[in-house]
Amino acid sequence: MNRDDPTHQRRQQALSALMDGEGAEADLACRAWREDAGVRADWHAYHLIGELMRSDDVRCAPQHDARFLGRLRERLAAEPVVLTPVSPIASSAPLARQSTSRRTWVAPIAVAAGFVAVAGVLVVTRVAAPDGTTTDRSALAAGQATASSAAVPAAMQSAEGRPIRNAELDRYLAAHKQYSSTSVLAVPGGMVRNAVAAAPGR
Amino acid sequence: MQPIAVMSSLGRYLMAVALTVASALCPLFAQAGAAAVPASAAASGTDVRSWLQRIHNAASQRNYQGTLVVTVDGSVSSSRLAHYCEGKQYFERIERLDGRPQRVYRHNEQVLTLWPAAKVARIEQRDAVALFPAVLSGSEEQLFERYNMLAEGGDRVAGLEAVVFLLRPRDVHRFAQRLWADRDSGLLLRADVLSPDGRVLETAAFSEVTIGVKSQPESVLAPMKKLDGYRVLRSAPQRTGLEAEGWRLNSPVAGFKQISCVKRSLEAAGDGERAPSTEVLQTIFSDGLTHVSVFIEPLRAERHRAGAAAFGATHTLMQPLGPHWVTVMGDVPMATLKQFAAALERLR
Repeated sequence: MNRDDPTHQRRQQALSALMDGEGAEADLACRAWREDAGVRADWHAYHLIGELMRSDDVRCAPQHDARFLGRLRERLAAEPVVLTPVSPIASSAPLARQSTSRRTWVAPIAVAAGFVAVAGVLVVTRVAAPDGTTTDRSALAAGQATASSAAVPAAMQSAEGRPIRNAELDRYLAAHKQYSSTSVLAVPGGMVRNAVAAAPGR
Repeated sequence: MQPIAVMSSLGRYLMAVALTVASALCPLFAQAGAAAVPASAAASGTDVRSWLQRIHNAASQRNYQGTLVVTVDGSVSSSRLAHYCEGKQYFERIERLDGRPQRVYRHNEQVLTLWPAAKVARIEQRDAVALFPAVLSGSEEQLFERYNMLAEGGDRVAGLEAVVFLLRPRDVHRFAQRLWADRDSGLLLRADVLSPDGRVLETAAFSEVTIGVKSQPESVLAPMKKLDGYRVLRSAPQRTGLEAEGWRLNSPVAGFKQISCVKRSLEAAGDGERAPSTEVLQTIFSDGLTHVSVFIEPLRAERHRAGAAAFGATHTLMQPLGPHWVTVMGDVPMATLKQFAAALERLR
């Protein structure tokens, strides 16, 4: 595929917007993701770039992600589709027609499921990378991704409805928490709170 | 009935605990009752106030070690902590027990953080104000202007008998805190930060602790000298002033006083190959109990996204101000952070 192709560029933009939590062109991005292996590679690369930019350390090798995704796709493909709704039209239609109708249903659902799962997984690896302590936050973030447009935990939602990336915030948090002991209370382990809440994981 | 009225906020099980030790706590109950009667009542008597002093002194002057468990938004992490004091020298060792290994050693204002897995060490010269709260004279008065301190009876934490206090804010600009202090030493055993509707936003508590251990400064100093094989990053905040940097708050935020202003690099020096290190101006405001940081830096459109976030009690507000980027962070309600952001003004 020609990289300068306007369609390709538009797909990339849609993908990038989706990563930032903007759903305006989510349909386009999802379709591109489904149809084009190059776009799937871009999606992964974008996250890797984002992770490198935002966090101080990338803990797991990219091959790990790729292997995981590969296995996930294989498993999804092998998964028996028991929950596929069979429309009344399809069921009353001849057998051959029924099977095509099922296929057309299955593909998008499987892909969508894979997509959501992948989005969740990538968020986890990304956010959890700086240090172990953020795992729960990453769980939250994963929850957001999995829930897509649905209930995003209010606490993690930005004023504009966009989730905040925690690795970026952790730098500020670490600097902020250094002053925890200015409290009259000088909580023992004020520094522990610092260490726990905001350890920049270099 | 007054003591009971006060206790009701603690929940039934605590009330039961409190009642069983009621005889031992008569003076405290009287205290709590007195404090709860008229809203204007001069808050807490000298008895309760003296506890604050005890808590304050115990944290820095006692020798203790134990396991501290911090719970924030359902995420639990624990650390092994040792604190020694010899005269005016402080030694501290903190080892994180969950996730990625991390050890922190502190000798006075020098702080060494080690990430053994990555073989990275960071040496920081902490802002002295952050380490010697004693220099904040008058902050206790400041605290009582903004919080009521109520005695709430007794409890047990980490196997020790504890006295419970509630620091209840007198306005909506800050969060309440509930404190559990060791009856004998005054050491703070547990602290909860509470939302206005009484939910626990954050808890830090010892699961076990030994108070009065033998001071072992060498156990802190020795690792601080052994950095073979580590990539060492250094950073030191540079003291400055908000006005000297061309900024001010055009209206003060109730109860908060500026206690420090530093220029610092948010990424440790030498890490330039990953992300350009950002120099920010950090101004710290304290109300005696909690603090708010205001970070100012040049706006970088590709990196900065306006918004707000909350993690446990820590709220964050991020927004542009002309060609600058402002991040306000603190263990206070979002509305308080908005006041800070709105009051910030460029002088030149």
